[in-house]
Parts: sequence; C-alpha cells; structure tokens
Amino acid sequence: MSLLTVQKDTHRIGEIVVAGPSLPLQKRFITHLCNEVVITNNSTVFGRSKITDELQLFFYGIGEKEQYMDFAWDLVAPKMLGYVLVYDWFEGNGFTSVQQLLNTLSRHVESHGIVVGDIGGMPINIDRAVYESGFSLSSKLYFSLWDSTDKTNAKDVLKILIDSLINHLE
Amino acid sequence: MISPGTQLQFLRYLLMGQSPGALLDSVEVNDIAPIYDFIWEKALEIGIRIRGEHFSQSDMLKRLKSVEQYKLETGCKEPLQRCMTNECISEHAGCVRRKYDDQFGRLYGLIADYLGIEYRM
Repeated sequence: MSLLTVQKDTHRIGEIVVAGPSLPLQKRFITHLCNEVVITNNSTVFGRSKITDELQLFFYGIGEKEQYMDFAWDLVAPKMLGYVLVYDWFEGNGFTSVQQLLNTLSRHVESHGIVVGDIGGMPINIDRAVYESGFSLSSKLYFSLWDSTDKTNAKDVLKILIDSLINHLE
Repeated sequence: MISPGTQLQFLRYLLMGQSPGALLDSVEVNDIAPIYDFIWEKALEIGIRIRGEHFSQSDMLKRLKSVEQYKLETGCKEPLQRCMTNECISEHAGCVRRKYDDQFGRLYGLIADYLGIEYRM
C-alpha cells in the first residue's frame, strides 16, 4: 500500500544483498539484473536497477568469504528486501561455504532469501521446468538453479525472491 | 529442527542423482524422519513438474516399501503403529535408521528416473 501513497519526488529503494564464495559470480548475477554496475576497489559490487522513477532495486555484492562472514548481517538484515547466495553448482567446496553461510543466516536473519546454484551453461540433463520456479526450504527461503550464461535467467531467480516476499504481505 | 544447510545438501544429491547414503550416516537418527518428510515433499513437487496431469502419487508409493512390508521382513512383533510413528526410536535406533536408509534409496532412485538422470549408489 505504501507504493500507492508515494510522493512524486520521493524514491523507494529495495536493497538486496548478494553473497557467496565467488565474487565474479556475484558480479555476473548483478550485471544481468542492473543497468548500472560499479565494482569498488575493496572487492564489492554495487548494482542499480530502476523499476520506475520512484522505485529502484539496489544490489550489493559483498565479496567473498572474508567479507561475507564479517558482514554486519544483524544491522543490515532488518532493512534489506532479501538476500541471494550464489555458488557454482558443480563445485563442492563452494557448496560447503554456502551451507555454512546459510546456517549462520538462518540463526541470525529473518529476511527472505534464495540460494542459487550456477550451472554455467553446462548440460545437467534436468528439464528447466523442474527448477525454474525454485524449491522451498522454508516459507522464506528458496533454492534454484541459475544459468549464468543466459542473461534472462537471473530474472527468474529474482521473481522467486519477490514471490516469496509477496506471499508474506499482510 | 534440521538446518537449511542440511536440507539443501539432501536436495542437491536428489537433483544430482546421487545416493544419500553417506549423508544419512552423518545425521542424528532423530533428524532422519524430518529430512525424509522434506525430501518426500520435494519429490512430489518434482513428480508434478515433470509429469503434470499424468502424475500419480500412488505410482510413487508403489515404488517404495510399505511399513508393513518392512516390519514383516525384520520379524518385528511390535504394533504396526509404533513403527509408522517411529515410537521405538530410542530402543531400536538402528532399525529405524535401516528402514529410512532403504526408503531414501528407493525414493532417490525413483526421482532420478523421473529426471532422466543416472542414479549413482
């Protein structure tokens, strides 16, 4: 309802944190969703996607393990729209890092989130219809596969996260 | 309550056609039933997404072993209800674990068939 009462000269911003063991994957995910992307010199990525003149999505790729484990999730989480954890679907060590981060977040963060395994254009023999709408791990947490070689695919991931938020509207 | 990391690991193996045997060995026996319930739900979702209106839950159940059959094979004399609800888990943890090991294997094999991927033991 707040969108209906927004003033013309004000801006609404939804913030999404992107984390995971690979900064290049975070960058690719954000690049696929944003028209403006900035890579900072401290290994973080910032992206902005303008939905309307009044509504924008900001994406923060917060870097690799040292950064995301030290990240002030407790301070940022109450304000963020949600989080996305990206990793290489075929890489075991990356998965273990994501598992650890996910367990940490589940203890400290109430936000909506999605874990995304990147198949990077590799054949996995699974029909896209099986995973494109994601799998729920809880009412606020989802998992999906993502093909980082297909630019449109990141939007499907974002849709799952937004759907999760909409399902919790009061 | 099982952690999302554990849920994700079991789901990952399901989608990769990998037997969950090694994972099951590493979880507490009391966590096995909630994990099975989670995976059963995901298996139904996958079945519906692949087979659409041709999906049948009873076809899935036919590929699994019933509790009655498992009890019969083990020669257990306890009431069936106790086995269905795992009431004897504190006295017969190994038996409960074996029941689920077998059922997980069947379910993962079935989903690999649905997905059209090779199931690796």
